[in-house]
Amino acid sequence: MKKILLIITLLIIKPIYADELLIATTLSTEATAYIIEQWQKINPNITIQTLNRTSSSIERLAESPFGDSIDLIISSSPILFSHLKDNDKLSLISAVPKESEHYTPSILQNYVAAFALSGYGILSNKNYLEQHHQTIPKTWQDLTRHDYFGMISISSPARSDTTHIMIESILQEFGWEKGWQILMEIGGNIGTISSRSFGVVDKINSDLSIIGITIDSYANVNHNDKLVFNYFPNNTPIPTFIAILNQSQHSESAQKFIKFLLSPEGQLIVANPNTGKYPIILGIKESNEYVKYANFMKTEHINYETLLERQELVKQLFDVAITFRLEQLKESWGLLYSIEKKTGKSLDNVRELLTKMPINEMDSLNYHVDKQSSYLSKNVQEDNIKWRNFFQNQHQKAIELLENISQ
Amino acid sequence: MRINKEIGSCLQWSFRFCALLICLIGIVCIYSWNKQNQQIHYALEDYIPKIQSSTRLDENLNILFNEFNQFAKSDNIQSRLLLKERILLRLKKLNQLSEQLPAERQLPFKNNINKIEMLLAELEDNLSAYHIVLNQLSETQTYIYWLHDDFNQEVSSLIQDISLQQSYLLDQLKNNSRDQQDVYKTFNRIHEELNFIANLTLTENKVIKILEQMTDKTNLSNLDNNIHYLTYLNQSNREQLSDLTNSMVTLRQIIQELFNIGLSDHQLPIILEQYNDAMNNLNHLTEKKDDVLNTIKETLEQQLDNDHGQLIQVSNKVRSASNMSMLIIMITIVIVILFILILNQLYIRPKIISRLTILNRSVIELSQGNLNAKISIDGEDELGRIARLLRQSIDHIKKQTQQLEAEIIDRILIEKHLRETQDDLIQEAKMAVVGKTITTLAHEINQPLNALSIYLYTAATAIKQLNTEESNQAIEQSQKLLIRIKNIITQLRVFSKRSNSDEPLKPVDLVQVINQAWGIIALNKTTHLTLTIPEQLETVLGNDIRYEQVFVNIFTNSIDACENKQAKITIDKMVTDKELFLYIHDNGVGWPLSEVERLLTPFTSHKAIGLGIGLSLSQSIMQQSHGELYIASTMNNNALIVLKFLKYNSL
Repeated sequence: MKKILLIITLLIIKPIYADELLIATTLSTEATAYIIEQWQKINPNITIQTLNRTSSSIERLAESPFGDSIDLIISSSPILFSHLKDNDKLSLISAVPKESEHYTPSILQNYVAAFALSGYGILSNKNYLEQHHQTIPKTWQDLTRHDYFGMISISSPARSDTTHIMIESILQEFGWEKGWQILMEIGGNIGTISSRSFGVVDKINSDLSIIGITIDSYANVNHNDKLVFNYFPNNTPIPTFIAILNQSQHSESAQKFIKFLLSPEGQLIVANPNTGKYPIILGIKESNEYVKYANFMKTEHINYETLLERQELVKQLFDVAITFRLEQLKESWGLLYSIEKKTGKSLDNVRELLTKMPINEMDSLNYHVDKQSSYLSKNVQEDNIKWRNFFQNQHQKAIELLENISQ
Repeated sequence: MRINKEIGSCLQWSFRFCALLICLIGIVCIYSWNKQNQQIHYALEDYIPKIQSSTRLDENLNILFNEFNQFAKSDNIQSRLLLKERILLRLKKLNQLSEQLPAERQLPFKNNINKIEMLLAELEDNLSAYHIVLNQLSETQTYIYWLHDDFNQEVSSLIQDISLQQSYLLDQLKNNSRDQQDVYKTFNRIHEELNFIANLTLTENKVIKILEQMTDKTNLSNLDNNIHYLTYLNQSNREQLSDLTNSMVTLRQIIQELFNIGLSDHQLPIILEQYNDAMNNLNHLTEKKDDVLNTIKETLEQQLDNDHGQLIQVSNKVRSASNMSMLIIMITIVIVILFILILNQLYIRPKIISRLTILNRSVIELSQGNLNAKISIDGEDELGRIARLLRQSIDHIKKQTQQLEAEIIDRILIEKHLRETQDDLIQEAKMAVVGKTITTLAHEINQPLNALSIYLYTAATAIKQLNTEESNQAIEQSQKLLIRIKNIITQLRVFSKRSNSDEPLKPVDLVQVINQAWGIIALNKTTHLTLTIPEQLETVLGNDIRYEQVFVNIFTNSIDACENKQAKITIDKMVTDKELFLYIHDNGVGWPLSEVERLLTPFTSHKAIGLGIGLSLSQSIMQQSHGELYIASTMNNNALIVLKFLKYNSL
């Protein structure tokens, strides 16, 4: 009887004394756990619950009646936020500091605040590579070396927004043609493609893969002695954004939480290694680690307009060119490497055939996506078949050329 | 048949016969070897190379078979290229090997290899077509997998959402913060949604299963059934899901995409059709390839059989030839052995060996001096002739022996006579000396006789005067003189005593002999003489009287040689184991060198008196006593006589 009384009392008291914030996030539980823990220490009255979902799930939840209970959204995906903003789901955030604004896409300005940064790079099984007398890759170009044939693991950009940002950043860094060339050459070395970004880290941890392309938060959180993580040079930082859903019934607490995150003390918590992220305000952290990575933070952030513009194209193109054709890539690149090794020269014409893209940069920027009526928009579906035939042809031509060379 | 009678020609004929048979064996052997050689030659130069190249061809063909099978089954370009390269190499090798075949076999083989090459090209085209389809198929499979993955993720996140919504609604119910009716309505909707999800998942699973069946390379037979079923599912799905809530859109879209893959003309159906075509083509080509390869193998096997047959033929020929040869050789050997046995038994043993043995025995007897040995004569051949000649020779020898025996008897008689003559001569020589001495002797005896008469007169006077002393003295003196006379006469008698050469040899004291001889010499020599002899001389063999004669002769010669001076004769000795040498030299004139040869010839002397037989007699005396006499000169040209005696103890 006493127990029941206690529960009833708690249930009644809770709404009076405590405010509960529900954060829907695309990040893993570990990534937010430390921040929430620290917040809880300072604000025991405002408890925080997290809902870890994919961006499409969060988008869907926001539309559903349950959407009312979600207060905050934390994600690195500008696409998710732009969809939410397009559907009028976000409320304005007040007093966003300049540093945060700097990393926020212009269309999301005032609706979204960037509060942490992530880098991305290459997670390698150092032990394995050393045992096999191979150097540890550090750049995108390093990954194209045939030494790493079948060793690389990446996730599909269609399924992981962070991967999409990484791919888009190569395309922006090296340009559409050169970027795809690098990606296609890396494609020849890819052993597995996972459907979630942390799947990459899992595979390397469990020795299923040797080299993984991933964001640092996963790499840092899953720290392991035999593994080594290297940031790509000229790394464009991936900001983590936070936004308040306009249906939120605790918007005040939510605003308070954002304010806390962007405050120096909040940034210090963000800077803690346990978060696996970097603070957005420079100079907030004096540690060696911070200085070490401060450089890449200074670089220009990604062009979000371009990213959003051709997101569908890039995702589909990557899947058609690499994800679905993984077996073909292994075959053609394996053959190319063996013949190059035999003849001792680089077969540039074959490489050109294997890395050519059906769409040029200009077209990619003007690529129009119809309103989605099926799983893939109609024109994308048609183009899918066109692209498939294109790659099939290129592959066939390359194989023929290689056969001729080998004889 | 004169031939048969001669042993030599008989043996010759036998040898010729044997040689002929051996030649026959040789010829048969050579013939047989030649045949074998031909076989070996055929085997080595023709058969084995053929077999070798055939087996190598066969091996390579087998490998080609395997490689072709692997090639036809290769599902990756790298192994396909590798195998193609290997097959081309293999074909090249086969071509090379086929060139070792005889010209008439090369052509069909090369034709077949050309066919294989064409087939290889065709097969490769087909394989790459097959490969393209395979790639498309695997791409589609991957796409299906990803769609399935997307669907599952979508479903799981939907279910999470729904459970979240349910708990939220429950909260609202508890809090009474919403109209209950409204809440139940929402619950209903959520329930419907869950149902939809379950239905969709069921449908998706069915579609995936069908698509999996469709893309299963090992089981493509019921493609039509699958498409049919899929079409049916698609229709019912459309009806079922025509009205959908917003949250279900993605799931439905994914299912629609899956249907699309399975049913759309330019997706799975066409790929599978192409796949079937490629597979059929490939099977067809594989069969064709098997046919060609089997044809080659059959040809090869046939060739091998032919070669083997040929070898067996040659082998049979050689076997019969060598059997025949063996038979001939055996018969010939038997004939030779029989012939030799018969020859031995009937001819060599009775006609040669036994007769030779008899003849041999006779010859041995002959050699032992039995001239009366029996020599049998039989046959007209060489042995008979030898025996006959032998008997003739023996007869001849017998006659000669008889003659010789007669002659020997004559000789013995002559010798005896001669010896007697010699003894006479010695006596003669003695008597010459005695004669020479006789005057001296008369004087020698006369003197004592005169003295004797004086003594006898004295003695008579003394007796008369009764003077006994004087008479005794005179008688004594007379007695002495009488002894002296007696001695002289005895000496002469001994010397002149005739010695006989037939007397046996006995020990002689040379010192006594020399003194006696010297006594005789000194008797009739007025001049003063000196003789020096060794104090002792070994006893020698011989006859003292005859030796005395020798010394007398030698001393006489020496004294004669020293006509006007005192003669000095020295005797030295030398002793060996069996012999004693005496060197007798004087101080006389010696002998002229020209006479040395003649000195020992009888009747040679350079003295006024003498028969000149002294030295030659002395020599023959010495020789009769197994001694010798040599004449020589001293350094002063004095005469030197060397006497050799046999020592008594040497016997």
